[in-house]
Amino acid sequence: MAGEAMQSALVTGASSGIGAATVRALRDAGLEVWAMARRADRLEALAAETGCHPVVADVRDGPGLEAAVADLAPDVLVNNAGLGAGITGLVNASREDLEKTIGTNVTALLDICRLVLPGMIERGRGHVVNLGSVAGLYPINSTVYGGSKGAVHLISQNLRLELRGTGIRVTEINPGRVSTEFFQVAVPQGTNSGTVATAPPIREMGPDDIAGAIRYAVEAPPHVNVSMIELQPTEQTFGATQFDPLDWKE
Amino acid sequence: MTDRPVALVTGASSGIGAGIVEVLAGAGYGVHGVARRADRLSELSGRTGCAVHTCDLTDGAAIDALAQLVSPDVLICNAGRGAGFEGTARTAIADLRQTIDTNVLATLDLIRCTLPGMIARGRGHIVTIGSVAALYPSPSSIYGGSKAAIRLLTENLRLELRGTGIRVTDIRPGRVSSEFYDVAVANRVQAKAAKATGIRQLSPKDVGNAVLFAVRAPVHVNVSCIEIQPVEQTYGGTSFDSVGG
Repeated sequence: MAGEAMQSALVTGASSGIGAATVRALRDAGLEVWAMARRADRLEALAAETGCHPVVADVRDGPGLEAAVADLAPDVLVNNAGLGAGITGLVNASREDLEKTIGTNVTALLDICRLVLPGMIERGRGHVVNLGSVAGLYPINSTVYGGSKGAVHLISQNLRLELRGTGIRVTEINPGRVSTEFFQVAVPQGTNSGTVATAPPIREMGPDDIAGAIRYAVEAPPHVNVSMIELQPTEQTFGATQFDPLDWKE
Repeated sequence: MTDRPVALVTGASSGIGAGIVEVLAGAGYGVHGVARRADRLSELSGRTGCAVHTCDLTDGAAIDALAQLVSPDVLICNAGRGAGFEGTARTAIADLRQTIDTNVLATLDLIRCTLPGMIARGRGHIVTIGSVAALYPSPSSIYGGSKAAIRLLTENLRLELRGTGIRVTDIRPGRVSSEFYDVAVANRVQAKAAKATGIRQLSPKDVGNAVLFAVRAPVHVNVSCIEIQPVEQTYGGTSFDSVGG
């Protein structure tokens, strides 16, 4: 860590939502930021607005990802790229949904860590920030997505243990309901999939709220590892026992 | 909240509690510090300008009196102690009782007495100081058990308080430089050994800043948990110890 503040960051899934807000927050904090996503036009607009460097890449494309990060040496890696295909239930999910969700949320996250960590270890400084979810902590009707974020939870905890003595920090951010494109992407148009995609009648969190938590963890003093922040809308809670059977005929 | 929100901090006379008082007073909160040691509180008040209340939280009548006196916007349940680090079988029942009574029972009692006012005012924030000992197995069954109770009581409290607008946060720190082990471990040599980690530990102010981040979040956001540790402290691994002699 060399006692220095973090000076640069690579953010995945940067073209919208939490990723774009994180790019803005870290630029505000004075970091040099590489913003990675598939949508070049969105990244160009974000670059014009914030002065970040666009990196057009698909995190699920192994060779493309490897080439994209080959010349980058970020202090902070924000693993934000993620999606919720199959969020309406395992039984309703296609194999493609599984491949998308597990492939992006779990495999690609591990892959980019694998590619970026050797440089961090060599430089003796680094910070990995993983976007998990409350769905990785509580059962909330999302077997596929929750399973993928449960994996992120234990990946983060094990990574801290694996990296002990290196000075590299690992933080897991577990948000509740955020107002983003998440559900529009996760739930296909015209499917009879219940109300999961409908915005609840509460004040949701905005992407900036999550970006603020990431910034707090990144700006913590060098001897401090904020290893987990769980944050939700005040009006969202989890739990209670269910005794009513799901209506499978719906 | 009013222009100067009121925060009540228990266990304020030293360590994390004093750190929280310093940070919140510095951020403009009207802070009330609660502890048993009047001399320490008086020193803290001189340094930070906080109001002070000498009170033993394991005394129910004292909690009733405190709740009559102060109606906090933010209640920070920090008072706690450790025990059992020499082994549960070697721990005196008095230490066991005092640990559970302080860490769990007094926390629930103070929350119980503070909540009606918060519900009536339609706002409030309960912050507990839990521990990483609530999440990972560590050398004290008694302490870890008490902090696991804090973890689940805060999660349940959020559910219980849904629709009230009251927020609940559990801060779970790793190793902090404080008097914790001086109290928790009776044997002076062992207490000194427990404190000698050789790493850069968290300071009480690091924990105070985590509390500040949670209480300052916009009212529509509930930061329900922050886990914060020294970079050089990790948890886990597995042990293989043969029972055979």
